[in-house]
Order: sequence, then structure tokens, then C-alpha cells
Amino acid sequence: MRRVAWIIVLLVAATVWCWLLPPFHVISLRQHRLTEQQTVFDGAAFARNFWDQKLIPSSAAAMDATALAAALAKDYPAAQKQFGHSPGFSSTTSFFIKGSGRITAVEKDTVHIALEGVTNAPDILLPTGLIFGNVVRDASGLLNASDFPNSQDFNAIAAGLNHIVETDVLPALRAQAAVGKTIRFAGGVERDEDTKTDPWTVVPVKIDWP
Amino acid sequence: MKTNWLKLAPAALMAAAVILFTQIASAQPAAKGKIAVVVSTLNNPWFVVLGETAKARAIELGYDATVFDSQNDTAKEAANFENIIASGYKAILFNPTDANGSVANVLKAKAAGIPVFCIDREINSTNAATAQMLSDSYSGCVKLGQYFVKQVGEIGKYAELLGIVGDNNTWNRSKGFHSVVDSYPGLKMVAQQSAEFDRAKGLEVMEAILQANPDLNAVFCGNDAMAMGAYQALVAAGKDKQVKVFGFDGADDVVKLIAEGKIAATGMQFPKLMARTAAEYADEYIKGKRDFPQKIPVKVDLVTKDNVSKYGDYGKK
Repeated sequence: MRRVAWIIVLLVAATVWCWLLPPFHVISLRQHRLTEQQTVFDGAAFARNFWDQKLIPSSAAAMDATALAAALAKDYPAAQKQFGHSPGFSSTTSFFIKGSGRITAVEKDTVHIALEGVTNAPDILLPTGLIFGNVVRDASGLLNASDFPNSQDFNAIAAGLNHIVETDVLPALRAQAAVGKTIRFAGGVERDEDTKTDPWTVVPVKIDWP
Repeated sequence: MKTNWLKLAPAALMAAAVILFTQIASAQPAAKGKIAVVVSTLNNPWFVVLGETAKARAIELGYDATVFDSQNDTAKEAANFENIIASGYKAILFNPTDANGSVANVLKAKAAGIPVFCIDREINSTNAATAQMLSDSYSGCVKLGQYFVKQVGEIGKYAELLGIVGDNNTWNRSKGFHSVVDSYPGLKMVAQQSAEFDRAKGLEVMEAILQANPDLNAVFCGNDAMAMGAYQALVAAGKDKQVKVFGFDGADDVVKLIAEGKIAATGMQFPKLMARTAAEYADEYIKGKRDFPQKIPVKVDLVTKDNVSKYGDYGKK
């Protein structure tokens, strides 16, 4: 009789223990997937917010393309350091620039621009096809890799911003570009020691038709 | 027979001096202390270069340096860290095995007051390591993807060999590549399998993929060891001229095969630059510097037959 009483006491104690400190939780697979989705970084959403709140508002303060060309021609390393963004170890520098000029050619994936009122200015190319790489993310210097624990998240932002350029900016550029028209643009450009003399491929974040 | 003790005295003194000197030399640590170099695996020449360069630079800077091999095993890595923490090392130059799994080891070292400098591979934390020097794998593979489309064309069948699934580099490379290639619906990925950054597994996986897909046009490999394995499988199957191989790392054997026109391209990651810089950062930390950027991306160069003459010995000539 005494033994049975002890077993009952132990069972009650074990039940209370498990109630207070459950050794495991049962959740549905659906709930697990939902939780996982909520913890996954949403690069597209971050990119949209960054685009609307920071990048486009800051485009008015982007450096004038002709001024940058002059600074680079005068002292390339000094201009790189002063006006560009080159995170970590890289010979490539990104610049956030703006300018205006006359369209000189329209090709399948490119619009060619001659900058206004400047001699020896670089040829500007605005791509109108698919956009790849990090220049839109990096050119403004507003985002820092060190703020993101997982570099996959930082890279997802680059992909998200490229997608916004492809959907928000390029359709209008493709539709309205015509030789002889004047265009105003702001965007990111990468320069490298090896490509000093190449035309400047500027990924546009904003275009206007004055 | 009588021993002439006076004649033996100088020899005995000399022997005693040698023993004493040896004892002192072995007990005396290097002037600046010890630095540990923990590498994910020494079963891949690229990581051997990474580890040995870090060790050599630490020695040049005046430290004793030891390389620890984690054998791609987080448990082995944890044991290495415990050993290092107990043995009075002043800094750890660390090539992690797993972006999430390695964070706890770094935090243990941090709690013990030992700074950790990650090299090449990332840990998913911004408050554990002192600094992380990381190849910009994503951007490198964007360039590789663009070159892939130029070489293979906009229509074709390809396979992808992934690295270790728990490593961020695996996914940064894959995502960088797909950010380009997925824009071309005519390029069909017929197989995507992990070969764990390993040459033998690369060969094995490629053999299986070729059997199921004899009409393959190209293979993208997340590192050069797998690219070498894949190339070996293609040679054995007589398909090395039909299937274009793309790697990533900048390993010497792949750079040589690019020069010979046998492999299409790779991404040069500069392991020597990263390893040397990590050792220099550790030295600066020990001397008192504290303000290091957390993530330091290192540019990756696209190496093709057009510029291969500029590259070799795990870097730019």
C-alpha cells in the first residue's frame, strides 16, 4: 500500500515538473515554416525601403559627373579616396554621380550620352537591359557590410536594388530615349585602375527629361 | 684504472652548459607570444596556402605560430579552440568550418580575451570576431556568371557543384552566379549537387551527373578543387571539349589549365593577401589597436584565357 502511494506521489511530481518545464514542444510543420519565413531576411523589402527613404532622396547630392571626371584626371588616387567608396581591399571604386547630356545613340541594351558643355568628358553609357553587380548598393556609401551579420543578406540587397532599377527606371528610359534628346540622370558608376579610359557605365537610379 | 677528474671537468662543464641552454630555449616562449592559425581543412591546397601564409607572416612579425586543422568538422574545431584557449595563445587567425556552428567557438575565445580574425569564410555574427576578412564571393560570381553566359551562350544545359551547405561562401557564390544566369530562361540547370568543396567528391558527383545528362554544355563549380575533380571526370568520359568548366578560388592548377584552354574561368580570391593581412591585424591588436572594421570584403578577379598571364601563385603577378 505504502509503495503504491509513493508511485502516485512520484507520478504527480513528474506531471507537475513537465507542466512547469516541458522537455519539448510540439508545433505543426506549417507553424515552423511560418516562423522560419519570418526570421529570413527580406532583401527585396529592405531594398525598397532603402531606395525610397535614403537612396533617391540622396541623389540630389550626388557628385556632378564632369566635376568627378576633372578630379580623377587631375589626381586619380586622391579623387578615388575623397569621392568614392571602396569597401575593404579592392581596386574598384564606386561613385554616386549625376549629370545631364544629349543622347547620341540608342542601342539594344544601352543609351549613349554626351555630357553637356564639356570637352574631354567621358562617354556615358546607361544600360537598359539586365542589371548585375553591387554598384547601386555601394555607390552612395550609405550601406556598410559590417552592419549585416550574414553577407548573404547584404548581397540580397544588391539584387533587390538591381530589380528596382529594372522595373522602376529602365522601362521609361527604353520607351523615351531618342537620339538628340536631353536627359538628366543620377546613378552609380564603378571605376578601376585598369579601366581608366573606358566609357562610364552608369546604372541609373533616377532619370528626368528636362 | 684511475679516472683523471681534472681532465674530464671541461667536458662535463660543456655538457652541463648545453643541457642548460636547451632547457632555457625550450622553456622560453617567443618574444611576442603565440598565434594560432585554425584552418577548416588542410585537405585542399588552397587552404594549405592560406594557413601556411598566415603562419609565415605571424612568424615574420615575431610570434610562434601553429596551424590547427579542423578537418571540416565543427567538433574538431571546438576541440582546437579549447586547446588554444588553455594554451595561452594571444590571437587566433581563423578560417571557420560553419557560418553558424563556428560562432560559439569564437565567442569562447572572446570571453577568454583572445581576439579572433576570420579569414576567407564568414561567421554569422558581428560581435564575436574582432574582424572578418572575406572574399567578395557574390560579386566574383556575378562576373563569372556574366562570362559564363558569353561563353556558353543564352541556350544550353548546365550543372552546378555546390560547396559545403553550412558555409556562407557556398551560397554567396551560388546566388551571385544565379543572379545572372537565371535571367536567361534558355539556360537550364539540369543538376545541382553538393561535392563539399572536395576534389574526389567533385569527380564522383560529376560522373553521376554525366551519366544522367550526356548532353551537358557546362558545369559551374563553387571552388577549384571541385572544378579539378569535374574536369578529371570529363576527361575520363571524353567530354572535356564538350563541357565548359568554371571554377572559383584561383588555385594554381586551375590557372594553368585556363592558360592551356582546358578550363574556361575561375575567380581569383587572393588567399595570401587575406592571410597576411589577418596576421598583421592580430599584431596590431596585440600592440593595442582596437578599431577594426567588422567585415572587410576582398575583391575577387575574374581569370579567363584573355588575362590569365597576369595571375599565378594564388594572386596577381
